[in-house]
Amino acid sequence: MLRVDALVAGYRSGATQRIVVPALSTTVRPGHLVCLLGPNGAGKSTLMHTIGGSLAPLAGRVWLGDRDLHALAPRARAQSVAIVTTERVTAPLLTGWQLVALGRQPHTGWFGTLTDEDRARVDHALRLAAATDVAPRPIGDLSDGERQRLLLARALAQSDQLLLLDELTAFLDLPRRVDVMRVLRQLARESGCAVVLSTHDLDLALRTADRLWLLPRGGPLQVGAPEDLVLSGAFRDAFAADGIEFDAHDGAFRLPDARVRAVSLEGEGLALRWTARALERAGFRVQSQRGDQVRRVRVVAAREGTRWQLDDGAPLASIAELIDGLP
Amino acid sequence: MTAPSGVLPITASPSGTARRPQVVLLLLVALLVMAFAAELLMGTVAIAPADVLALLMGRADADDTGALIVRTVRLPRALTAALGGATLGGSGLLLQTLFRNRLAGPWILGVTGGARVGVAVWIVLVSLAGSFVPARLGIGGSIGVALAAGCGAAATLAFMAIAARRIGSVSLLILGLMLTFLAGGLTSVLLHLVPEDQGRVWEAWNDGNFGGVTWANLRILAPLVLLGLGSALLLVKPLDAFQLGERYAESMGVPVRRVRQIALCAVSAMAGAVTAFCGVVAFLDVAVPQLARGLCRTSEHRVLLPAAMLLGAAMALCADLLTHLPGGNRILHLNAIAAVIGAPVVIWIVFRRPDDG
Repeated sequence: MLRVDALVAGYRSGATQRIVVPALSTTVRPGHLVCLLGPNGAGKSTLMHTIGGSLAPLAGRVWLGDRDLHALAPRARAQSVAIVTTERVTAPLLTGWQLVALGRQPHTGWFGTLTDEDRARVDHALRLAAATDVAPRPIGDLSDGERQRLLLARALAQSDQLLLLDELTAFLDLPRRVDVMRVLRQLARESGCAVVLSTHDLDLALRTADRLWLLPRGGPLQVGAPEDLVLSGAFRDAFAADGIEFDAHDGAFRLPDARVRAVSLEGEGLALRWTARALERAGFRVQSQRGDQVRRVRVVAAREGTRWQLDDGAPLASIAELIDGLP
Repeated sequence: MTAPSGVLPITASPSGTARRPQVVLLLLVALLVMAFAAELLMGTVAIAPADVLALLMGRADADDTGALIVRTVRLPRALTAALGGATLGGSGLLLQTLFRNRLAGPWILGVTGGARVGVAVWIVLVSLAGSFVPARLGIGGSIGVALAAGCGAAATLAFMAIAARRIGSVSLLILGLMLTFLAGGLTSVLLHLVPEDQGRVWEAWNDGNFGGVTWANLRILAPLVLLGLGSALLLVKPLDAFQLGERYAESMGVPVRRVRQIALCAVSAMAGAVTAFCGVVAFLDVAVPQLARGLCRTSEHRVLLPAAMLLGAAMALCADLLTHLPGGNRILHLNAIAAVIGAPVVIWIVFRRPDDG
């Protein structure tokens, strides 16, 4: 169990302090995946490095089990906390297996000789991170997604208590991001490791995380289950300053548009939902009641397929034609 | 190692490729022994192998000319070349890992240049103090020269370590080359201040050369080099962690600062000492680690570091052998051979993976 106790993260230079995250108290259970969300510059990395122990806190303590992380010797701390940073790893000759085996360093002797147990831990970490198949290859030949999974395995080989992952999914395309998140959640549950991931993937975080840590710029950190934060409005408020609107009904983000015009929409089924989405994307506010100055869109199920009708015009064959027909 | 159940069998676990490094290291030892033997056996004066062997076994006539040549010329020369080459290969690899730059090395980063300036300053100071330059003659002089070179090397390395935090890796290499030029100029200017007869002692030293190092010099050179190589070998585990960058190394419990300080001191001591007694030897520092990587196909330092040392020693012996092979019309300079071997390797690195970091 990770217990953060009145932690103040920030930087100290001489007598002046710059507080980045004010007094934070929370816990993370073993096997839980926490996503740390917040706009750039809010101090996500600072908070991660403070929790990980590489940055001294301005005040407060971080407990892992019954041990104060900041009071531990570097080696002992490394045995229970592992990180993935945003730095790019370029060691082209290193094989995936060797990279993951580096995670055993805090556990091995002077020359880093691996015991059978170390090897088993490496294989286990590779399996949990779904990276066993790329382990024999030099990391210079791997894709970004494969390399991130190896870095995840390396961290897990180092510690099975707390993983701090700084934007692990940042360089990946969407399918790879979804994949890594899936791996991450399963890995947390199977290994019983507490995982804190900072990410910009609001949508994925909402769907995957056991807990969210919301860090607004300058504001206090808000902690809760994703759904609780949505319902309390904390989620909307955290990003409001950045000009992103969160729609609690859709559970999705939307770019606010200045030219809001209303459109009435009638119809049913999947076609209706996606038509509404398209209209919103094009900058319209969708309503179900008809009105005087309001254009009317109907989604009609015809024999030859779905058709769209704008006001009383001819049926249109696609959403694209509908949107093009609107001014 | 057995593959965990339910997983595809892994052929390349750490042990999957374990044979190759061992074989390569054995071959390198054999190469080193052969090169060393060749250096003892071949030269402008023909000496029978049996006589050389007899001398090495301590069964030679002390007045024999052949024995004298082997004892006072060839053996110290071979030892110097082996120590010098091991230093260049080992410290090249150390700096490449610390700076995360495949083109780093004591020569290319200006460290040997700095060592040379250190020696030049020392000579001027001694000369101004009015005493004769005894550097090549006695133990005391050797210590002074080695100390001055070590200080020059350490100062340059400290400067480069700070510079590396501010400028990119390519700029760093250009900076290193400029420092080398600057050091060459400064050395010439400094030696200009010294009376001609004393300055002349150092003219030969302007070019890299493993010859002319006496047993008295070796008594200082060898311990410094062995100390440097030994401390480097103790760092193989943290050096592996450095491959991922200092932040990762720190997160793995590596005392980053201390490791960096030990490594830079080791490089200063051994590269400084070698420069003090052999002058500046170019290119091998960059080329040898890269060739060792190619041979071992690994970046694990427990294999790569000894390989770079062994290969460096063997290549330095071979290069030195080429400079004094019988039958040549003129003296061939060591750095000419080093450049012919080393520069293509550097060019190859530049073209192959420009952004390896």
